[in-house]
Amino acid sequence: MEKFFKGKRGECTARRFVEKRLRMRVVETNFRSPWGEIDLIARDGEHWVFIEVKTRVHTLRGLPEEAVDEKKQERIRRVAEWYLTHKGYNVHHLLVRFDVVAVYMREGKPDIIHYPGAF
Amino acid sequence: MLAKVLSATTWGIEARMVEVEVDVGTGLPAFQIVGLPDAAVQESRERVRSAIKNSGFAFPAQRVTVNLAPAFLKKSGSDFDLAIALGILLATGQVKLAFSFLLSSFVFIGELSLSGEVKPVHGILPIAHFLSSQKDPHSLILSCGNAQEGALVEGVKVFAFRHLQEIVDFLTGKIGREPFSVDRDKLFTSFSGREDLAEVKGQRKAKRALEIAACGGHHLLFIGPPGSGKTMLAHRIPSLLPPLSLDEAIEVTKIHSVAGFLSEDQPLITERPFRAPHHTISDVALVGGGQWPRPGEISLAHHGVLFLDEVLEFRRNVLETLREPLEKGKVTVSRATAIVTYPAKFILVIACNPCPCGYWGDPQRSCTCSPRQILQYRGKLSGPLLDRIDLQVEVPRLEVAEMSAEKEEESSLEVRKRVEQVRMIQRERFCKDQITLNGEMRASHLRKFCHLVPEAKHLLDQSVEKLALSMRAYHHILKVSRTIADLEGEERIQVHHVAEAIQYRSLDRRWE
Repeated sequence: MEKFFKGKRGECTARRFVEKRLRMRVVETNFRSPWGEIDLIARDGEHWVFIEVKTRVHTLRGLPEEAVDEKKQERIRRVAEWYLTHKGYNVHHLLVRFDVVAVYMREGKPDIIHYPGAF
Repeated sequence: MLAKVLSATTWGIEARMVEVEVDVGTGLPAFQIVGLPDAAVQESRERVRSAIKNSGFAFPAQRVTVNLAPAFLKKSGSDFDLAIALGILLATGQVKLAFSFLLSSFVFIGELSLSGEVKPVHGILPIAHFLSSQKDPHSLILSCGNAQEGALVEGVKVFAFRHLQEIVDFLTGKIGREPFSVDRDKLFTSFSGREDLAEVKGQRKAKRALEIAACGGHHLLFIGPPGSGKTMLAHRIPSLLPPLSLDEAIEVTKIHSVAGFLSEDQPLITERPFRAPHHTISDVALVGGGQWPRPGEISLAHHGVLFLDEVLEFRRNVLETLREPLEKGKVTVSRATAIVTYPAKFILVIACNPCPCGYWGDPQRSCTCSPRQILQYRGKLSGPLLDRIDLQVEVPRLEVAEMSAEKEEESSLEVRKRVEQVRMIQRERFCKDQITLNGEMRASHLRKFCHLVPEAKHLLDQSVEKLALSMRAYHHILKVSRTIADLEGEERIQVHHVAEAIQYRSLDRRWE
């Protein structure tokens, strides 16, 4: 349960960051599909941006962004495709981007790093 | 946006143009390369991505599709990195060509490092040679490490760069560049001191055979006890051969370029190759092959000498692969990925002991081998292979008197003068026949150029019958007698020429 709340807190922080700092318009949070979940879906100008949020309290097990391996990337791609198709778009006519937002939950203020076009 | 950049790749020792088309557009971000690329080409995606980033440009977060055309040609290696990177920069509009710059007249070849540095690749000379043979030669853009090799061919402008950023500046007109040029005559003057024939004492018969082999391009077998000087003699045959002509040098260099044996400080091979592979060599390494075919030792010895020391220690299947190349002067390698033909005109020199212990027939030491052992040992040199070797010479143990004699031996330089003389005669004779040496003559040439005096013809016919020689052996004797006659400057082949040629043949018969 503790893990779950940690993740939730990280996602809230990330969402605020994406909207306030990056000036993107978030259209979905925690979008679920048969293929898996995407933390944030946002619009950045013409781009559809699919964002994976990774939260870590300490770096003992590596950096948060390192946890997004190829298997996970492939899953997010598939969900993104599924999402856009369901919305009635042709994926080949859209500008799509995949970002990673890494959140370090330090005491007090969290550290946030944004990777545009991570994969 | 679509961009098209030209590149090229080697195919055997020839080359083909490759069009690199890059499309950057909408869709899920991805970077794909199509057009039968192998693993090395697939890996170029990572190199290109980093090189673009580290040269101060942005890699697009869009769908990038690269097509290498023609699609049926299998592509391998890292040659296309540069063209792919430039295609991406052009397709994303990060590079705007200078107004006067005609992209389609340039061919880009080079590997990229992660930092954006342009690295040299193998096989530039065949590509430059291919471009020069076309009606409207393209210019080459490549790495500094390849510049000398590319500039060897006349008629092709070569521009050399160190970094992707420099090339972009060149394309956009920010910097100018003069075409790279190389002084070919200077490359030819560097002549290293070779081993000299004068260092070998005695062995007059073997030296004579060496000279005949060098003159006419005949194959040679030395047989004798250990330590009699077989290897020493064989190593001196390059010093008897005339230097390579420019065309020959370029042909040899092309093969070595494809095999990746060229260095930056020695872009042109000007000395005749001398290849002496160890007897553990495999058949594929000898004749060429592999999944992506590479030239073998026989092609690396093109226009030079292939020396197989201790030939009876080679695996039998390895030796048998020599049969067709020895006749044809080239070898065709067929693999799933490609069918390529490599030239392989060389003088074959082989050396062996007469028996496993090495002393059979030695007047002073007795041989300890059983007849069966000896037969088995010699069985490795099959009749068909032996049939193709024109000069079979015994190299006996040296007498003490000969060894310690202070007599001045003939130097390589003197012999080479005679060899060059004889080669000149042959060049004039064959000027219309696309061959250069007596050893390469076909049946039609034999009829045309080997006129025997009647007594010589009689002797030859008789010996062929008595010694039960094959038709091929008959032809080879004719070729060798032609060379011997040329050495004496005779137009018609005399009795003693034929007689000498036949006695170089008799060895294999005596074994039985």
